[in-house]
Amino acid sequence: MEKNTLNFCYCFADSLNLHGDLGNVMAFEKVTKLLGADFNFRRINSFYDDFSFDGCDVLFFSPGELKTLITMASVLQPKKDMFEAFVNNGGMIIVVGTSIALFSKNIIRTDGKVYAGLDLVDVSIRERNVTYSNDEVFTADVFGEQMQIFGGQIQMADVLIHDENPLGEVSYGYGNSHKTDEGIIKDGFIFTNCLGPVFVKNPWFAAKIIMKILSDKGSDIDFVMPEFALEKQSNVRISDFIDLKIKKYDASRLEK
Amino acid sequence: MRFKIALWLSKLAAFLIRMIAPDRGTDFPGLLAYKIDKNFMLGFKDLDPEKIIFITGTNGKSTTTNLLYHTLSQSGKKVIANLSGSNMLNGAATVLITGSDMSGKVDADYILIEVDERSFPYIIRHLNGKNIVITNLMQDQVHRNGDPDFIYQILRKNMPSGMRMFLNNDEPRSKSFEDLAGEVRYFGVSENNLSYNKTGPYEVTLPCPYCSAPVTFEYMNSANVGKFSCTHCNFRSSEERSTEVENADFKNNTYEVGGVTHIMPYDTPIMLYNYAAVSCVCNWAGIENEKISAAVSGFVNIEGRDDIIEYKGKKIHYLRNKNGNPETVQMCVDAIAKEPGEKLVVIGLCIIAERRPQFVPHYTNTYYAYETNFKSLRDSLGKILVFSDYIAIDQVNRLYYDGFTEDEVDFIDSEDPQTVLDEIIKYDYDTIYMIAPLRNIKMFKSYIRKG
Repeated sequence: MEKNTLNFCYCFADSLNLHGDLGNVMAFEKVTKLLGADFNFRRINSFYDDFSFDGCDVLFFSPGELKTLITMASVLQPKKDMFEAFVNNGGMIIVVGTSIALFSKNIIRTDGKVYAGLDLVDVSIRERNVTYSNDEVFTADVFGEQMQIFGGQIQMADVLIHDENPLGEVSYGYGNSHKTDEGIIKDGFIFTNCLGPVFVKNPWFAAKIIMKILSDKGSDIDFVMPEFALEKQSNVRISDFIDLKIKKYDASRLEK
Repeated sequence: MRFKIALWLSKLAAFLIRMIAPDRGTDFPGLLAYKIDKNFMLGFKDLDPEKIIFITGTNGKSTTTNLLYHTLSQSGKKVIANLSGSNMLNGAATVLITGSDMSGKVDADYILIEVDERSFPYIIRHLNGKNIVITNLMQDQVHRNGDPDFIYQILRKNMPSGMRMFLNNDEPRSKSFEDLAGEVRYFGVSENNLSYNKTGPYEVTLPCPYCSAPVTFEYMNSANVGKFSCTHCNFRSSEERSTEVENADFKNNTYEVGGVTHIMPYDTPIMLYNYAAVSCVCNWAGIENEKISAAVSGFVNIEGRDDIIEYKGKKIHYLRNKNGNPETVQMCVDAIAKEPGEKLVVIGLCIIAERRPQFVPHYTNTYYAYETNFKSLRDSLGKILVFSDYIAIDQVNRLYYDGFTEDEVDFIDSEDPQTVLDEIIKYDYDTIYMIAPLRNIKMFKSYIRKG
């Protein structure tokens, strides 16, 4: 039944191919099925081709190279209305890592050149001179449920939030721009810097998003959050590692 | 005069290192020379750029350099090279220090310089070479490089015009350097019985280096390496290949170049590209395929790539992966998968550790395991044993995502050599393979050596 089916669209997957985030798609399939719903998968391959978002509940964007995202934003400018219409009609855009640049107001490269994004979220992207990589832990209120999210960051650019709400608060790591804010959440839009793949390592995060989308569609499934014991066990060990790092090295120096 | 003093003192240092600790300090003479003379390599006045061949790329540059050295030498050429992986400025300088006389005159037919991609701008400013081999440009050390475009841009922005380039015709980023070349020679590998394509709904290729559209492949010989074309612009593998490895036969360990059969001493699909690159350069150097074939068959790779550890009567065949580099993990998996018979596969994708953790933090990212397809291990699998401090469970979860079951996968939450090795020998398998980073393999070897 359509109301119990998550229609998931993997967008421009070959062009946005970094950091193993195809694992996130696998996680959405797994968690959707664990929740007792059906998973309907679709893929839009090329941003140069004609495409539509008809029948999609989720558009998923994994991280890509900044060069690619700048080209993509330029090519997709005439289709900006499609993205806005998708969100206005109840769809959810999920963005991981650098691909926030596609939806940003502008992208500032290290050479000072500024490129236009699709301007769907009020953020600027400023490329970093040096990539910053580390673990990341943040807490977030995801559709009414407080959760701790573990992952990593390979931060090639700072995400400078103007008039948007962060998804969560950083307890360890870099977040959007080495402050406490991490990601963005707004109607029909979730962004996180967190890699891992984040929805593999934190399936409760995926579960909450799926529950929200399907509930809004009128699903009659009585959702119960699965236990996800393996992932919890893994995150405990990663937490141990982070504690060790903090003890061994001065945390403030670590993050510089 | 400063150059001469730097040369003589660094030569003395090289001599002492050879006497005292020949397997260490492989770039110290160069370091010393540059301490004395910051333009040291520019002091070698009579170097012929035509004789200098740089070898760079993400994967395979050490093996290609060693194989090229071996093949040219066996073919009667006098060659000097940095064979031990010291591939930054000081390593390049050390090649010239040890390969020159007291006046700085280098007597060699070819000077092979393996170049770390990040060091390319520095080396190319100090050493005027005409030739470059680019093996491939892929994801590597993402915790420092971010994305492959970072390295790609470093090479492009610093590439002198008019170089003779030996480019991988089957790897899009490498091939795209053709527009900067004065002369291009392509090398590639034809479809063979281990070629494949990505057909899974979630599998991804890569963006075109010119227009960022998806690149598709007619076939792959390794992840995202094979006959390709862009779905939007005209960029594609050239039909005009200078050197093509054909008819690869992994049963009999042979391949052909120009109709001449070669025996492959190492029989992984990605190794075919190293053979192809070497044949391409040697053909340019005027060496006949028959001579190349004779030389390649006797090649022994440098230590640390793949080898055997013996522990309490068990032989553990290890294959080295680079942390954060999915292609190297895939190469290891592919190599193991094609070996027949039930086996124990030990996998340790460990913490990504930097030498100076106070500045660059260690971290737990295992994302790249999702860019590796482990399913091929299933056909001849006995058991998988995962080991690692802190992230073993993470890796177990990855294997579950590829359909492996609890019965098929065990794990140990440790990298301690004794713990891991003692666990391995509990299994009743004669065939044991291990995939782990070099750091861990060195720890195992050191533990065994100390008894």
